[in-house]
Amino acid sequence: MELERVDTQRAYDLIWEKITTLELAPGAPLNEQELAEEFGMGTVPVREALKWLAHENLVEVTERHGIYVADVNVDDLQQLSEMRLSLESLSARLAAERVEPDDLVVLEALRREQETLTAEELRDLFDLDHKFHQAVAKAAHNKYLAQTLDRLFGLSRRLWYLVLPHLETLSSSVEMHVALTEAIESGDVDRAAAIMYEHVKEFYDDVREILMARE
Amino acid sequence: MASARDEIQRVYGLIRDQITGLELAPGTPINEQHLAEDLGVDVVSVQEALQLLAHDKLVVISPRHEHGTYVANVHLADLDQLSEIRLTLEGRSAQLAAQRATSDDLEALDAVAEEHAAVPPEDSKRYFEVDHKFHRVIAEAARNEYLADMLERLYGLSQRLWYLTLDRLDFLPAAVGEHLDLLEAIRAGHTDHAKQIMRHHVKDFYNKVRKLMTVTVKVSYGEDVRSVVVEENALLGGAIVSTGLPLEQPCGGRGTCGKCKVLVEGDLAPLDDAEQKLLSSAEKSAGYRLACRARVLGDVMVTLAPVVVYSNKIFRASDDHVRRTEVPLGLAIDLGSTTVAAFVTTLDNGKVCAGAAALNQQTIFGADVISRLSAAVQDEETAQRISKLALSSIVQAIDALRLPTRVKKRIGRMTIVGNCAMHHLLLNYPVESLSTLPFQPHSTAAVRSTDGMFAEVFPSEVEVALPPLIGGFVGSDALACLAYYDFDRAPGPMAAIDLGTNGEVMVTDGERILVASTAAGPAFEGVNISCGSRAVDGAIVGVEAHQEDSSFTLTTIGDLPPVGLTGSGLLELVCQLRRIGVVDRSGRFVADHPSFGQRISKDEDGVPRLLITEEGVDRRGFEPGEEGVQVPLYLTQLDIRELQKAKGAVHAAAETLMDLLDLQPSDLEHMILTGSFGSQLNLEAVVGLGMIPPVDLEVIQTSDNGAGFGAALFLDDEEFERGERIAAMAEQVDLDLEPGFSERFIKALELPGIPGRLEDPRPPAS
Repeated sequence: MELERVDTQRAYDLIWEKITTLELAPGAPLNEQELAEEFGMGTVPVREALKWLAHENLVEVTERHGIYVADVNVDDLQQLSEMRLSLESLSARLAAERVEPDDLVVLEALRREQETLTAEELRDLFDLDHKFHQAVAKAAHNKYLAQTLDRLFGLSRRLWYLVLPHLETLSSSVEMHVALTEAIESGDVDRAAAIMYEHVKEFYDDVREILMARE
Repeated sequence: MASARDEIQRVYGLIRDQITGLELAPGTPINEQHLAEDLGVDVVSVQEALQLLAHDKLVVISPRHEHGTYVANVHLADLDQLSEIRLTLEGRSAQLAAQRATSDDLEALDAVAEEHAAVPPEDSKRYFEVDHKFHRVIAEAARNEYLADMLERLYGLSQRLWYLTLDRLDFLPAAVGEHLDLLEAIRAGHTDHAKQIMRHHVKDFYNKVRKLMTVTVKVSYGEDVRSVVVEENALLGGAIVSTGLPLEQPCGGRGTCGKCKVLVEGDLAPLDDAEQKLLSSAEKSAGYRLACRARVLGDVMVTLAPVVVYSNKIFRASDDHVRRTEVPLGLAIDLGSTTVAAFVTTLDNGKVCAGAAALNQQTIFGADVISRLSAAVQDEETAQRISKLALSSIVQAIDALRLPTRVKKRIGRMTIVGNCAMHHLLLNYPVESLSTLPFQPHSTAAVRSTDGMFAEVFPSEVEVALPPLIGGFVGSDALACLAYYDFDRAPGPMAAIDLGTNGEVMVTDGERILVASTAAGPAFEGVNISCGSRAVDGAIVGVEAHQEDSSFTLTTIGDLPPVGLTGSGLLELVCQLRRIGVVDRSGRFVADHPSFGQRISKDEDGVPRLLITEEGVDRRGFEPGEEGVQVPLYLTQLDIRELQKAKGAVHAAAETLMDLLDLQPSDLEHMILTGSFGSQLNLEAVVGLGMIPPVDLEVIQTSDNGAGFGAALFLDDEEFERGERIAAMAEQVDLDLEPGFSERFIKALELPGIPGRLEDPRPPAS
């Protein structure tokens, strides 16, 4: 039982990674058997993991077409951006209100890590940006908010990977991190919320522009 | 697969409803087999559904040998966090709905609003359902699937917390009006207004639920009263600790040591086994609980056990009461405003064998009697509480005697004496007339039978009697002194003064007995003095000033680092300062005094003060044995004023009574000083500062515990009757009505010098 749960978590993580990085493209069919073989585990944990993912809107299960990766479109982009704009600014606002020394250490470490990356290392920069958002959410000290943002992140990540090939650099995120960390550290709630809002908005605007140009 | 999945989703929904509706309460263990049977579904579906619920954090799955599978617990923090995120998302939802709602959406909203208005006001559950629907329809109108999905989850999680307070939610109907306003804003497309209304609606609701989920714990420790808001059902001990006030818990809250006894009033869970075992029946009925076990259900008021009293009332003259096993015993209680003393007596010969004392816990309602009376007048509940505090202080004083149970069982009688206020407050008599002019007692009559008032605390066969009061100012404590010092049998003029929070002055010329009470204030007990201290370890009881190096030699109890001044320490210090001219006749500091002037400075408020020592210790908030913080101790100008008022009142009262009986100081054959520090008094200081009329030192006697020993006399029926006779013949003098008292009082504020003994280098202040 215990082992099976560990496997389920592992299967979930692996499939999540594949879906959100578009290795498993939107609309792609999913085969329990194949995935199980690939991961070197039984089909039961894979099936469990697919249920969790369906629960999170990343996988669709239908009578007629079986299991496949959920589709993604511009409507999703709009809806996700609406949600994240609200929640990420709330997260930054609460972080500025509640940040603790430990949280600041993490934010500072991430900033330094970011300095070692060049603007062309897009994937790494994006992953780092994600870690930064998670660190802010942690500093907000609201576990429901952190959970909700995590779920939304999986969905956004796909959008981002969709536009990745069309991006050359990740705009302005370095300055943003510095400014946001400062606002959080100084407890400037309004400024923290505003910076985060602009940052998230910029991201979705970029993605939208590219998606629109493609269609 | 698909139909199996639908079935899992259905079972998931069923269990989720049970969890959010609290049919499956937080913390409830889940047995898959039983749950499947209850729901009429197969076990596999239940298992699958539980996996999904665990993913939603509504269920916790852990190995069987740990906690197994159970419904996730909820805490106040969950409510706060959910409220924050819902506030944002619901606001966004309303905003988007106002922007995007179609006519179909508006129709649907109208329908829900109608449905809402039709819910009977008492049907809270139905209100929730319709409210839920309303929020769902708005989320739909917002045209954002992710938002709707997220809000649905958050609603489910929140609902569990709301349901905890469901039976007490009486404000749901108010939400209907808010829904209508919101509907109009959405219809009109006022996005910001819609957002605002929704945020307010959500916030208001959480606030109300939060209030129902929390309770206020008020903790008093002496005069320090603090309060804290905690979750309902929280442990009392944790709440107390979070106020920063000291709580002794040597066993770490396991309920084995019984040290964290606190007096609590308010709504608490019933006593658990550990409390039943570790609390005596007297403690239980007085309202004691173990802080580490008691859970808080409503607002409560906690009184922490006060610091141990060191007093001359604690003594052990003999162990006759333990050794002579056949002799019945009596208890005499002196219920003082500050200290409550208990004395145990062998009834066959009236011998007082041991005494012990506790602090009067009523001090949380004020150190002085007037504040307690006005608190008791306010409402019946407070009056009852004050009465109960007196009772529990008596219980503590008796506990302090540390009588073995078999000895306790031999107690057949008890007398309680006290001033009028203590007497009335204990018996819960009406005190309106006692607290306003012309200060009439409700009743002065002796109380022979207390109608089972103490039955919960003492076995019912114990006779409890309260001797009569002398008048509205002079209580049975003074009566006990009169009886103990034989005022009714005095061959010639004598006087006695009981120095306490109130100073009782008694004078007889051999025929008439006059008694008056002065509002001396608690200065003699070290209260209301900036560095005042009760007679605890380290308290300063003696002072010697040295002119040559402007230093003081301090004598402290137990020879420990000084913590503050006791009443006698204060008297001696001021007397010394007066002798060497650091304080003038009017009580003012002489700032340019040649040697001690350098010790005089001003505090933040500009009040002059004199440094007693740099090496004082502040032990407030520290456990016994801990060191405390080093602080300087000062005597301030206000402290001297306080002492002047106290001693002036006593002096003027004694003079007035003597005058009424045509007595001169030289006529007195005896002058007895008793009270909480009677025997520790430095008589030279007493006379030197003019606390009593100028009698010869030889006629002054000090005596401990006059009131307590008198109370012990009253355990005997004949003596009790004698007490009643004395009460009838003693005359109470109302000092405020005596012409000339005020002038005497003002004159007595002065600090004279003892001719020939005290040097007074300066002329009297003009």
